[in-house]
Amino acid sequence: MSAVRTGGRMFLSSAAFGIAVALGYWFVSHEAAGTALLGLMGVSLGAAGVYVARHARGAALPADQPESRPEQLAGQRVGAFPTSSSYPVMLAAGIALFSVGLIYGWWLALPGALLGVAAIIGLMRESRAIER
Amino acid sequence: MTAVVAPAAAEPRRPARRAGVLDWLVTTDHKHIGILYMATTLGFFLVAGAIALVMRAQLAQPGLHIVERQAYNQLFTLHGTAMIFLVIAPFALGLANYLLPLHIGAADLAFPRMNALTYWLLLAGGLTIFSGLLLSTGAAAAGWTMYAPLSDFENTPGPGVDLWIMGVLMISASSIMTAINFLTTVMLFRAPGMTMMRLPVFVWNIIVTSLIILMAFPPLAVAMAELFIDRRLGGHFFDASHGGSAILYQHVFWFFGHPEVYVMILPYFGVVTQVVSTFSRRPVFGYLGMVLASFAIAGLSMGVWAHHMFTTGAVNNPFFSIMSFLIAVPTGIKYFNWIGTMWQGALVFPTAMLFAIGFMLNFLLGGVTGVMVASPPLDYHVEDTYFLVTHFHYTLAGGSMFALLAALYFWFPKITGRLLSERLGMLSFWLTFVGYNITFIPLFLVGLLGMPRRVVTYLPLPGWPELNLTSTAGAGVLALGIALTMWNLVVSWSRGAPAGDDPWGGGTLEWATSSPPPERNFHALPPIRSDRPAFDMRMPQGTPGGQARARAG
Ligand code: HEM
Ligand SMILES: [Cu+2]
Repeated sequence: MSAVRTGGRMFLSSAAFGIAVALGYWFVSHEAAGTALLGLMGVSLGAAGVYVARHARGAALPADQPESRPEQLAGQRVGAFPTSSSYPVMLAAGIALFSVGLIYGWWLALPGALLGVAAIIGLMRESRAIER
Repeated sequence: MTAVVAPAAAEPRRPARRAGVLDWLVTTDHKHIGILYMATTLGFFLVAGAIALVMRAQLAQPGLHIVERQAYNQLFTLHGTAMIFLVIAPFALGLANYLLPLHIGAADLAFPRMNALTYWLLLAGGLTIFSGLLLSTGAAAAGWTMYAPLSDFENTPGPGVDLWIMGVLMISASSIMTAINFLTTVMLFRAPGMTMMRLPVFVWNIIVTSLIILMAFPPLAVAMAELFIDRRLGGHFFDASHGGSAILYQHVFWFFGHPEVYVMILPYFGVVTQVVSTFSRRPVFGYLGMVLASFAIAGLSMGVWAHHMFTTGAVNNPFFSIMSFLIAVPTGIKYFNWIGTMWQGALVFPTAMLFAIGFMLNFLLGGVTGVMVASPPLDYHVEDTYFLVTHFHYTLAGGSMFALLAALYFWFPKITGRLLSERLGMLSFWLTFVGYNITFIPLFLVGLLGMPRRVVTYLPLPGWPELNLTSTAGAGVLALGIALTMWNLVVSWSRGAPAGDDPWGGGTLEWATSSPPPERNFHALPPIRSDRPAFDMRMPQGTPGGQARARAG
């Protein structure tokens, strides 16, 4: 069975578990906060599960065939992995300045936001270059 | 920045170029990021450990004034926050960062640039939290749980708490992205033949940990945002005088907080499983049981949060008590399987194995005392005493920290190509193990006598000064043990004996590549027919008592 499908099931069964526990918990406690937390956990896992399950069709990977051998992939493109990029550290700095700026004032938050947006634009352009 | 093409045949080995500072700043290689994670978390570990020594010095005798009350409050808050958010959990994620692609035969994680972002966010978050120390009002001092109303604006007006909130938010975002990255990588980037049922148990535990992170960290982020809104933007989520509820904070916090303790233990269960299997020269006993037990622990851990709230009187104690008791069952299965793995194995005891065994002994006490405090009548007696402190130190320090040290001794040779000194290692283990227990056994006792946690000093009641002094002395021994390992790391990094590709006779794929591995991890992959492909490669026939089991996918 494809691992993507296993992944989808993992999410969906976790979702079912969350909702079942939410119901059981409401039944024994009538306590709203925990019921909401458990229920929302179930719903959001369910959303992820549906997404993965819908994309599982046609995802037959050599990894999922017990008898396949690494040489089968020889010369094939297995993914695009950049080895370096200056945008992640820039984005992190932007996020940090922005968050701390929420405490100390806009003079810090604004440059942080600008830095962050610039980094995101940089990342997107870089992605397009990698895809090619 | 290139598309990766699988190697056709064994490529010639090129020595890796030495990386400069700028390379580290922009790297997106999972191995470099893993090293950054581990080095940074060890740095925070030393800071948090030094803080612990100051606290133990203050508590050595009643009435000392090494630090004043407000400073002491900042110290225990920073100690707990750092150990939990900046050491035990992220070290495990850093280790997985390094190992996961190697374990599944991949070239990198699915989203290398997002991976780099998670590291820098973690670092920024940690520095943000500690930056509170520079303020005249000081860093956050309301405990790592940051309970409202203690943490609200009236009670703690300084920006220390705000910095803490922002730091924790950055760390949450970092953890969530890491979880997504791990899950995607395992689903899509395993090598041919690496079916799900051939994944090393460590990888399974990282899958489960990632799931827990996805369930637990969003609520934490919500709690932090609400706390910030209450403090700075006039909100009343947790303000009982305006229709809010302080109990609500506890619910949302512990809905994160309890699962977080499993984020801090499951990866280390995985470490111990790999180490024990390697040094018993046997495959993991009860592989499927191990995997299912991890899932059971994860599921149950989502439904026990309010065992931290028994004494509020506002929760359904029987529900949370029973759910908590149940967790002991899958945990017991793990122990059973570790013993099964060692049973009739050809055991050897290098330092990594000693730390793994130390883990099992210590964590047992942590688990058993966990079951004790999961019983409300007992918990009413020991809640907020040193007994509770000792429970979670036996799980986190005696447990996770010992496994962390085992991981260092086990994988340092792979990461650096050099062995750590076994002589220093053994000495470090014994000092750490003995020192650890001398530190914490007296705290069990003084906790049962009723000594409360989070206090700067105490009265000279019968037994209290003696037990506290013993504990402080033990902490000195423990610190010496840790210092030896740190020294070992520094010296062996440049001067250790060459390790070779596979110093331990390991079974998982990282031992089938060079030490350190080349840029894309593998020159050539062996065929994968079990959860021990490196072992199968060396011994195609298997050995008696330890056949490599070819498991169908
Ligand atoms: C058999 C499994 C376990 C059970 C039944 C259990 C039960 C409990 C209970 C009932 C409490 C709250 C007691 C109180 O507030 O009075 C508690 C606290 C705690 N436990 Fe455990 N526990 C278990 C395993 C673990 C593990 C594996 C870890 C971490 C690796 C851990 C870490 C903690 C921490 C950090 C606290 C204290 C939090 C605080 O108040 O600051 N526990 N545990
Ligand atoms: Cu708990």
